[in-house]
Amino acid sequence: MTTKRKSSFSALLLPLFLIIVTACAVDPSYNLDEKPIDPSVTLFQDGLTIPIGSSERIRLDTLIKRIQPAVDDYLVVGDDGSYTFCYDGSFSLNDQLKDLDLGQITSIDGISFSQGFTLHTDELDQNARSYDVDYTYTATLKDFPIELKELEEVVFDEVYLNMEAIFDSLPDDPKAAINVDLEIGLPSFITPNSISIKGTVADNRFAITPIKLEKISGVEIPENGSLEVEVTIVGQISANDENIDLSAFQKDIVMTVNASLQDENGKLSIAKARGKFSYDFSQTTTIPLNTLPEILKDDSMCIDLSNPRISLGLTTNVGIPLSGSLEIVPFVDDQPLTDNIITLENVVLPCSASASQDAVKAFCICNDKASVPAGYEFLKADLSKILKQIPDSIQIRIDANAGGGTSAVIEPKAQYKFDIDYGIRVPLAFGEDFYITADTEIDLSGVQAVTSMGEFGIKGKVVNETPLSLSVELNILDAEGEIIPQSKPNIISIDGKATSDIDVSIYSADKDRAIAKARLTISITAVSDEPVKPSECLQFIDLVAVAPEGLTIDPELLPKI
Amino acid sequence: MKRLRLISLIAAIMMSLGASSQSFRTGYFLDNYIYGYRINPAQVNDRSSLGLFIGNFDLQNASSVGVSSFLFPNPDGSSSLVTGLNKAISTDRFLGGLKNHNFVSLDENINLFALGLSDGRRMHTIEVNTRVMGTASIPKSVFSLLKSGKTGTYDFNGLYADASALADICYGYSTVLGENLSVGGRFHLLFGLANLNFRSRGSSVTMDEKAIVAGADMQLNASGMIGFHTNEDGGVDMRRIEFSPTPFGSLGATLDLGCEYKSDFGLDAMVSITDFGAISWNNKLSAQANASVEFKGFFSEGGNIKTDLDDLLDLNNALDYRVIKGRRGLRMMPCNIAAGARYQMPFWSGMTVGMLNTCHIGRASSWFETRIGVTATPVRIVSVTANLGLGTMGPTWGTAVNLHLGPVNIIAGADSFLSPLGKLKSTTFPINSFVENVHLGISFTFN
Repeated sequence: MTTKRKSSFSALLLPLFLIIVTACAVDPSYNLDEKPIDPSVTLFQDGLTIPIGSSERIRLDTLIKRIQPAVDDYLVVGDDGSYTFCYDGSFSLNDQLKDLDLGQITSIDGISFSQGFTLHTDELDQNARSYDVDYTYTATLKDFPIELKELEEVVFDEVYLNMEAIFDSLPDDPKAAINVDLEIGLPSFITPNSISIKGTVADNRFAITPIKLEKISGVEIPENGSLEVEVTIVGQISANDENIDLSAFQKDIVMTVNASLQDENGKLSIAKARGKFSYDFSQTTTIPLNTLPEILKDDSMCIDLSNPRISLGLTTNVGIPLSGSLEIVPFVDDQPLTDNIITLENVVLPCSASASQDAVKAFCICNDKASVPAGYEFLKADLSKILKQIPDSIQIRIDANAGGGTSAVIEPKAQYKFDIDYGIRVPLAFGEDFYITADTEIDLSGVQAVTSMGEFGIKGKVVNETPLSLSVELNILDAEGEIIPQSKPNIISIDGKATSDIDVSIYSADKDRAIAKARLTISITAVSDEPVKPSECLQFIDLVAVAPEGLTIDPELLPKI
Repeated sequence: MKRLRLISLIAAIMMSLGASSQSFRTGYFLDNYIYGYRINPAQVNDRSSLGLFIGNFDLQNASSVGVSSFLFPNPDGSSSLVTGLNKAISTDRFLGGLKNHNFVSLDENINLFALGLSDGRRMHTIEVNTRVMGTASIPKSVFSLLKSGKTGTYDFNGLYADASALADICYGYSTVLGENLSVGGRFHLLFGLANLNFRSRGSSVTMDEKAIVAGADMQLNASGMIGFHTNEDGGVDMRRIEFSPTPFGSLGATLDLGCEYKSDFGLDAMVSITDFGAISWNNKLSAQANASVEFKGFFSEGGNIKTDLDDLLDLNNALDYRVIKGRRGLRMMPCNIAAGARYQMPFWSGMTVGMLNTCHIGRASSWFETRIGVTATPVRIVSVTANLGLGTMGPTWGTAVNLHLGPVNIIAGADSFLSPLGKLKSTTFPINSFVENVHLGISFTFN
């Protein structure tokens, strides 16, 4: 075959080939030179579900320890298995008692007098060679403390009767020794109330050995606060020598008697006094609550508690029976919450028989007598209003008085004390006003690439054995902190004592605003009057993370190859 | 005559193009199609033929999906295209255009030598071919998972890829029995040159609200002229893999069988099976990966939140991977089963109508097709045929022209016309699924 024929064959084959191959038309819809390809893809378009799983049964005590360990320190489990919030403390009024100076109300000025007697010459009994003495001294005890109404018994502390007689114009005859034989008569309420004085004058002076007074008893204090007492001196001043020349007694003899009933301080010091006092006692003490966890005092919390109670244990060795009122005033920011003041009337404080013994009395302040422990005196008051908003401090004001109708024992030198132990006991059963709110923000700026892929949500169930209801609102925020509207429900509601469904999502309805943060607003309320028990549990069941509309991948975010 | 034979031989050497088509199905409808024995080994040609070396190509490619299965005009009316994973394309629309097993297969047969010696009643054929074959199959579940992602089980067992190069020496014999029946067969001896095979079995992902369970058992085998060294633990040192010219270690054989009956009233019927056999690949390397992951969430057994997510995501715990010295692996070759009939019109002997059913059975790349065609041979030297087909890949049509110019046979045709096409720069590509076979060739016949 010639080259020409070969060429002819080639010429025949080539067009045939071209006809066959190029006979196929180009669809302009798929002309990629003119049609760009949008590379964005959405995976799992019908919804991606990723299991999160089920949590363990989360006991409430475990949850509290994890979230608010400081609160856990104040929780005690009672016999019925429920929580009781406990806050204990103590304070004393000892310093205030020192300021009172109890000795003052039993402080009586000493009695002293100096009286001159004239022994007239013409009164000399020639036969008896004596002068008769019969003198009554009236003294007025005054300036009794107005609180003192009656002295039933007073034991003096080193109070002595001192007496001396100083004679003037006694004869010079050495034989003219003068004997003194007197009987001192004291008021009947003094023991001893008759003192015999015998002796011989020497150097124109006669002094007695100080006689210790024992006690005073049975003294009614007049209303004007002064008491007249009489001291009698009866007896004889005589010469003891029969051979004394009575003519030597030519002048009147002046006998000056100096006597006193007092201690070294000039007082009738009392070691112990039993009497009836009318005394007012008022003290205000502030108890700071700054050691409580801050969360309890936040404005976002309203602790509406069903039956809170405060126990007071009073220990004192004060012997004055006091009763009065007890006022509890909550303070917030140094301002009293006047609507929440609690006043308790007719509170009888403990009274000790002796400064060496303690008198103890316990009170339980609550609204329900049935919850008062044994050994406590019930004082009815609704404390819930104080604790709805935990104050910064509580001021306790005691206004007490001794009415004067009951005996009291005072030992002025004793170290008096008045200790008050308090305990706040709050069974955790909440009222209908109970709420706690809290906000927390989660930074999502680092996962914008993920959040921009589409809607994300969490579904599942939660079993809640506690009486606390939780509501969690999920809001998404942009970089400026403004809320971005969402097109899907964003609230989780977990009912107390119930099983609830969880269905919450993050889905921005405004694609022009990038999600920077998520804000969780948590609100907790309570099933009214249901006690909270640490064994009660929360459990999340079958949680799944969902992307209901899949994941849209922005090709700009993919790594460039 | 001898000169003409020599010229024919030379022409075949220099200019033969696509002369031998193993399954150029349109060729079945042609009268006196020289290489009809490749469809039906029972065919006995009237004359001997020869085809040599360059230009003999049989390019058969098929794809159960096209570009339109993955790229869609943007529903918003803009001029852009979007992928099937775009949110604008619904799940039903995207997955509805995919098959359970989506494959692309290539079967490029390069004929080096083809000789047919025939006396009209018996024919001997000898061929030497090289074949480059490739198949990649992705199950629909892969796309379902990516597109839908809803809870359920996604089975990835159909994930498969294979690339082979082999040499094929075959001998065929056909004979006419009696007046009407002819039978024949061809024996192919296969020499494996290189093979890379990947398969996944037992692989799946199950997703529900309680757990995500994923498992995989994958194997990659490689055979060919590669050498390697092993580590102390018996594993292959991946840093020391090198080219190593070694004798062929991979052998196989396939068989073609067929029979044809030519009735006296113009009806011809045939049935055949071709390429039925297997090849044993001497795998040099085998990479095996087994994975088992069960994710039940972020809580540990005790119900506490796992703190060590690294442990959760540690693939070392989930994946068992090793590369070892391979073993022999027997693999079936893709085969064809064909059944056809042709009927010569009683009113004109130059016209025949015919039907051909072809079933291609390949691992992860099977398809079926039925064609009906009409052939006209107005003059002895020209035969023209056209046919319409319908099958797994959808409707198609083919045509061919066969010129008998003395000792020279020229044929041009195609089993399908790739239309419509897409275009990127100077390259066109089919948009829809297709099975195409372009056939061009020259052969020389002689007595």
